[in-house]
Amino acid sequence: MRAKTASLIVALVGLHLTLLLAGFVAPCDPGAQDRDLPYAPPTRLHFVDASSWHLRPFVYRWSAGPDGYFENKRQSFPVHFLTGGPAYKLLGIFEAKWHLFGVDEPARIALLGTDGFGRDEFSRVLSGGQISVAAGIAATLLALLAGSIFGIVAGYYGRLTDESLMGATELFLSLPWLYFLLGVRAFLPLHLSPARTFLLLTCVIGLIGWARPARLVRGIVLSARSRNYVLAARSFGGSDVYLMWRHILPEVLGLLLTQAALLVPRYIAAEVTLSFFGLGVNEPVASWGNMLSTLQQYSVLVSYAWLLAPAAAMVVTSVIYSILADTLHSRLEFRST
Amino acid sequence: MASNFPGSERQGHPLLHVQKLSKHYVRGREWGKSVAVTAVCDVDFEIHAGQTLALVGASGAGKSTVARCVARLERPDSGEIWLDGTDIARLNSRDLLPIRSNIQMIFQDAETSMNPRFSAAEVIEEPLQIQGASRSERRDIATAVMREVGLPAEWLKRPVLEFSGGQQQRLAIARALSTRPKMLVLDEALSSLDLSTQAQIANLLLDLQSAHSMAYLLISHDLTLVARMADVLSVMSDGRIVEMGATQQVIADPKHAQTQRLLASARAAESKFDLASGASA
Amino acid sequence: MSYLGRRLIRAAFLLVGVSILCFLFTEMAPGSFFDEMRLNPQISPETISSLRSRYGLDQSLVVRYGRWLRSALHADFGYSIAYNAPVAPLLWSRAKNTLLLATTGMLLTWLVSIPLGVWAAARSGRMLDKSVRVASSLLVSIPEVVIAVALLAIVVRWRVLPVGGMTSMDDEGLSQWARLQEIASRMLLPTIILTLGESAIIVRHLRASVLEVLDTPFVQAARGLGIGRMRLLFRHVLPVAASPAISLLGFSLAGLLSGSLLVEVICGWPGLGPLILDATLSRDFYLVIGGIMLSALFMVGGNLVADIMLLACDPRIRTGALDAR
Repeated sequence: MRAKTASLIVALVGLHLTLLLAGFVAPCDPGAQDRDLPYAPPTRLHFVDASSWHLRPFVYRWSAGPDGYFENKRQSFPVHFLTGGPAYKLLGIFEAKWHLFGVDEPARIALLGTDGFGRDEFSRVLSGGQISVAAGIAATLLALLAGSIFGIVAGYYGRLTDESLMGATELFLSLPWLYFLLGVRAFLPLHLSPARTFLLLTCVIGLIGWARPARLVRGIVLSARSRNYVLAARSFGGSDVYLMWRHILPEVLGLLLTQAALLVPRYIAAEVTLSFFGLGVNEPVASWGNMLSTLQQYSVLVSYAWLLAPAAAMVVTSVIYSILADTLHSRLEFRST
Repeated sequence: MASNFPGSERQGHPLLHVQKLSKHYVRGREWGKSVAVTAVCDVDFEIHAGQTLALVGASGAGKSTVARCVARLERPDSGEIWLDGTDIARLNSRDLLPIRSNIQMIFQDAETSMNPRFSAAEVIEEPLQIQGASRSERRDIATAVMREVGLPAEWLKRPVLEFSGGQQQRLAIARALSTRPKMLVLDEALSSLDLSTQAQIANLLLDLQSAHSMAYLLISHDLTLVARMADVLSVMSDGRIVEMGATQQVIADPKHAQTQRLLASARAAESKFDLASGASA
Repeated sequence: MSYLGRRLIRAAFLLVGVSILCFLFTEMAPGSFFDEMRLNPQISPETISSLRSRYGLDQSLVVRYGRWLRSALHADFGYSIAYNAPVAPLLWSRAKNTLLLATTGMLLTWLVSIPLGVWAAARSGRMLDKSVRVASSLLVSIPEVVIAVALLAIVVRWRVLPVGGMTSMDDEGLSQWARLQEIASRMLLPTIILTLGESAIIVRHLRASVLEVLDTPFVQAARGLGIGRMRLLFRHVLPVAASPAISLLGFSLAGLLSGSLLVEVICGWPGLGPLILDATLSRDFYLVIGGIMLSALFMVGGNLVADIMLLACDPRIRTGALDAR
């Protein structure tokens, strides 16, 4: 049990740290194009050359030939670790040039191949992941914040407030989310700066998602409200805000935590779906969604399997989060009995 | 058994004076029209400092509603509740806040009346915190009231879940004492305890009453306990007070049919208890 | 009967509410269909403003909503600007295909989920149960886009199935039967994608509720009477365990509709999905609103069906024993 929890925490921290430090982990600028290397397959790491073994891996350059790319074995390029490379902004603030690994010019290391513009897919998966996962987390926070405020208010005040708020949630829940998402997106400007698009997406996804947490929170509040200790605190003159903050919110927190673990991957998927449809973050900024959307051309889908990398990244993220949700759920259930 | 005070004939201003108290509840709606149920109707009584008034009656008679109105957990529909010279029946929650420290309520089930996530200190200090007392003041008072209710002050840091039933009831009393109230409302405060613990807590309450000359409003269905603690006994039936008088006098010479019925069933229970001799209640 | 009556009234309120919500959203929209036109130098501003007034876009929200309601009562549901036609017929020609996909998906989902859920619960803790649990939790957690793209990649790569559209281009000469076969084969991939995602959810719920019912005294008693295993599971346990699963029906319908939108776009199935997506991209408001309304209608309808089914198989609802209010 403990080992399982530990590995879950390692996976979670690892995932988010990698994405947070994407600029450092990625060897290339995610936007840098190389018109000579469109759809290049993943660079192969070699340890053996004609003469001997090497502890340090090395790579060859891809050269375009009549039947696709081949490795140009005339010159090998060793992989350097903690090396200088293209400039980037660490955490979006600090100017930095250090990368986890890289190779000397003119060679390129593209662990997951390149896309149609010759951009490094690995670097793009990382920087796209920053956008997609951040959007998922931000939208989750928004939905949970709105949901818990409305849920607490509805459950606490009851009667008309409750009925009207729950009527509103029913309205939001009576629509298939994707139709709803597209609908709301349709009424907002199509072409915006990436930063504004990101904000807008987060708001739209969060706005649509508030209803379910609101209902769950309301249920808990409703049962917490009639607890004797809440009544007692009220008899001491505790204000509504005090009661909610001190007695009711702590009850709700466990639920919110589990919900967050469930919602983050779902909202990542929502962002990805919108960007996949061309309604989200637009090129040249990378997001898992717009990276996958190139696969809508069947010819690309068939020929370049490495372009499925964002999908694999999403699977990894979703599975980590769903294990987290299961763990939290069973933990909290265990504690409440 | 009887307490030191002669009873209802005391002179001077009463601490609590309830007049014409009425309260209805809405029991569901049908086609927009609300169906009202009268819980309490035209209830009058008064309690002097240092005195205990008991409200007895069958369940559903409206005892708890009176208690909740007096502690202002409910807003009465009509009537006046004079506490120490102020009518609290119509005050809004802001004006009520300073007055709250004068009147505290102790609930039936001590365990559920305290947040299970809290420590003893947090529980006791909560009313003070709401009243806006400083941290050091709260800590001092908490230590003092813990001692008063007979719990070691070192236990303040313990979570409330680690206290036993009787200890939790002491904690609840400590919490009520923390604001130095002039009046305590005991809503079936002893009925969930076993007999020996009940006796201990009753003694504690009586000691505290004489030490601080607090007034008690005791809601109970247990006539033995009432006979021991109350100076004045009033019997409720269907939301009205049907009989009121000095406790011993009412028990010795019940006038109203409802009182007679209550006494008869109490005696029956007692004799059954005698037969069982020693079986726990 | 009054139970159903109340549900119907509720459903009507819900639909009105959704339409109001949609119009409130249009109000916060800064752009319109004509903004794209405005960039075109060949169209004069006068033309645009006359078009705007023709479609009533210069009116206030209340007036627009009133007009839309009237047109909804005439079964037009507004006027598509891009297609220059009433919305309802446009939607309906596509909705048929979506319904075909969604209902097939739903049937298949239940056909797969019921035996699998019951079976897994009956053999809880064994290999089958474990693998069902792992597979379903994996499928639940993986986003539908990923499942769709991955399956499509496989299918396209190895040319297992024809993909794209409902029929091939040269279907004129085909017989009715061949056409049907063609449609069925093209429907297979989208249906499988839909079923995979949905049945994972239902299997999990059904398994949990069957396990719960297996624990109840009446099942223990029935077991004590020596009732056969299959009969016990499907005759005694399933009807009781089904009712929480049936109330999932509405929920799963929502999933299916959302899923089918996605799948239709990815697989090129000519349903509502591509239509709504195009309408969204070209800001064809009334068409989008019509699409949302239609999806809400499907949902409300699905929930009503679920209610009727619940009514049929849970006697407690018929007698009002569960009516908390």
